[in-house]
Amino acid sequence: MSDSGRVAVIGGGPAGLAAALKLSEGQVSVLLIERDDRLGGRPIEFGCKATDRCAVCSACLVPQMARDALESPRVEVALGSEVTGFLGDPDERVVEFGGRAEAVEGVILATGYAPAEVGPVKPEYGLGKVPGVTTSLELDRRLRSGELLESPPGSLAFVQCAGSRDRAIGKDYCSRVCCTYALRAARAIHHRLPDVRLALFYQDLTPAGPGFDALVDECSGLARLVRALPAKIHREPGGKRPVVCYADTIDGALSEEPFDEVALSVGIWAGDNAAIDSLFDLERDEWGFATGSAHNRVLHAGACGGPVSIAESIEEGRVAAAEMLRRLSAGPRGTVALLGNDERCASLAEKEGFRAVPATGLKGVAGAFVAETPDGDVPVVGAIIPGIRADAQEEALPPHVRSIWSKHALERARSTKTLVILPDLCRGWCRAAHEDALALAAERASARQRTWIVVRHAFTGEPELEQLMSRAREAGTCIIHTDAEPTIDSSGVTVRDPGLGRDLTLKADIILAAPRLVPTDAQRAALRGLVLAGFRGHAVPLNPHLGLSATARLGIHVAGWLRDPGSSHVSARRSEDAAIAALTTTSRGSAEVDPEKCAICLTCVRECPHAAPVVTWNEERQKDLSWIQPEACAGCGVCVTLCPAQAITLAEFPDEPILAALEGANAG
Amino acid sequence: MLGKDAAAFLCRNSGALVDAETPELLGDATRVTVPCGGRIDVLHLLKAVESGARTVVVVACHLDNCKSLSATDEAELRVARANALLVEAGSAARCAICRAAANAPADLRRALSEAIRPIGNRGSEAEEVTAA
Repeated sequence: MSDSGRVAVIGGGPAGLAAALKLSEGQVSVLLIERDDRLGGRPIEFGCKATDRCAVCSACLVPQMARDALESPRVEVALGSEVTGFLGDPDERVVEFGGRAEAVEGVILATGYAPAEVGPVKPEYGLGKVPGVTTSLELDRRLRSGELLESPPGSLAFVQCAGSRDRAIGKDYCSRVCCTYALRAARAIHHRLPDVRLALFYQDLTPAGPGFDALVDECSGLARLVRALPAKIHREPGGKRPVVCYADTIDGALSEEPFDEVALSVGIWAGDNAAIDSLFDLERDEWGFATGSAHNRVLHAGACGGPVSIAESIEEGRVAAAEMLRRLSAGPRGTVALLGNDERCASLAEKEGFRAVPATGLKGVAGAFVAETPDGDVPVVGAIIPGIRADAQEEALPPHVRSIWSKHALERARSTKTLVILPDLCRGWCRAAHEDALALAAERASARQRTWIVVRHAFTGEPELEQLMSRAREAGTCIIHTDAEPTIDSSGVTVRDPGLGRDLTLKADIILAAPRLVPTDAQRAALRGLVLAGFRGHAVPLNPHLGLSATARLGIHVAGWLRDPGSSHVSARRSEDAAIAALTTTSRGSAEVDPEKCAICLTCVRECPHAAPVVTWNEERQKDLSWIQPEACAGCGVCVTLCPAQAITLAEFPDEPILAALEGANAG
Repeated sequence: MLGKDAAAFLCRNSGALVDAETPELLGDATRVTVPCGGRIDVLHLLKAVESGARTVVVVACHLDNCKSLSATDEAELRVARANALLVEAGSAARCAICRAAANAPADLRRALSEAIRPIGNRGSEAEEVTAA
């Protein structure tokens, strides 16, 4: 791939920016076309949800990526431009925009989403008519600008699923990110404005990323979580406040509650894409989200393909860029080590441009790892630790409850007359547990066997699960939503049914639940050795810069439950994402050690978060010397300031310019 | 908000971006952009004081938001160390760290006023010291 070949990225939101930057890392020129007059898409207006710690929403990465794109010599940014034409001939591809026509090698579409038009489709919520009713996007803008802090409401309610999970309006899918958004926003507002009375009205709480369990636990103490969606929001008689009318699902009572402000968590819609569709021959699913293009060199990423979080958008943008590089024969090619027993990752080996080798250990640094395999050492460029269930250790379940993943228990469950499944008994939003529970219930329903599924929150984050749940219900499976802790004994489960307003005793021949997964001692030790800092239950620290799979060690990625203890599911796609990330990792810095000054005190070796410094025997000098492995260096400069002998320098950022900038600056 | 007699060290991924959006918050302070809060050394902070800064502010990322993971923790330690040295030398603590993300101008405004409050007056009354 020569420098003259260019890839057009259409859309300058998180997915488009991530794709553009990844392509530029791969030495490919990028034409980044954005309709708006600034980069960043909708998330550029989102505020920070941090408290004393980062909330890991990734919104702050968007301005960083926008700056990087504008500064990159390989990225040409065309703002205020709409694509008006595309010639998709295999020998010649031309994109027309803003009165220009440019030849390109490929196109990545990252056109984003449209916020649900809540006003017209949910008139009962009074948006635009009832004072104090606003949208989550508007609330976020005010949080960012500080307006919310200057004139805070006394009480604020979030209303979830405004424009999604609603068959009546043809949007019977979950927008996935709104629950996590609202909980983070509630926590952030409480942190800044502790006197604001907060409430959150929801159907089911759906996770979008690791750490959701802890987020819900924390928010339960800060905001009132109400399992009910309002039937109506009207203006307070004789006043100006919005009044939320809802049926309490715990006691069934009809309630009317005034708030100073109500924020509707607007769903994610595909929007009107007719023009883009006809230009790029895009296919779409029943809700209008892109599924693929007839053109080999047209890919899509981010929310135009369905509801995704900012972190997922960024990951999808990077993956689309890597895939484009592969199609342009510019990479990624190479071998990655699979440090785990992941049968799902076997598909990687069949994918063009990849080779995956099962490994038992790993030596070296990014770009030059050596995998230890039963057949000897194999050079690899990166490694993934898949984090699948088979490798994990299951935590003990309460008495009388068997694991849904136990082969023996599953066999028995198939033949018993009555069965109760509690997929989220042990907390943890686990997609696999819900999927397996619904599949088992469907199988039993066809054999006319009785199954009850008792859940706190239905896992609806993916359309297939929502549909699977509907089918299970239609087949006769009884799904009970409850907030109360069930009582379990040898004869069955007693649970409060909020719909009926009384306790139900479900007699069961067998009770199944999904246990929480924890690393084995051997895995714990291996992970500590491999990914170093941050191993605190999570295999990697929750840090937006690490994305969905990266660890503190460049080139080593994790997936599945190792990334998110609440999930035992690892899709082949996420494993591929991790593998592509491992294959395309590039170092970012180049700290150097002056051997004359180095006292080999090991401070840098101990303190570097990326394990870049090492001490090895130097033949020439006939002594041990510390040096920084350039492939592993992130260029943060931590070692430079920590080195007691001041032996380390960072070429990109020496002391002199800092001192020169200060010299005399404040003298006057 | 800050005057000419202030210096601000800005992490490239947080402080510098907020400052670009709302430059009025740091006012006339001398800005030094660093690749990461972890790159800031005690020497840099003392050099700023030696150069006449009465207030020295480090604007860095939140905990768990640092691109170099724990580097902003190091920055906090260095701010504390610089203040300890200043006090030892007979001056008052003049250095402060405040954390704000790239998309949080309102947070920076609040963090700045909270960080500067304890050092603001003392800094202006302190006798001049020369950093070693």
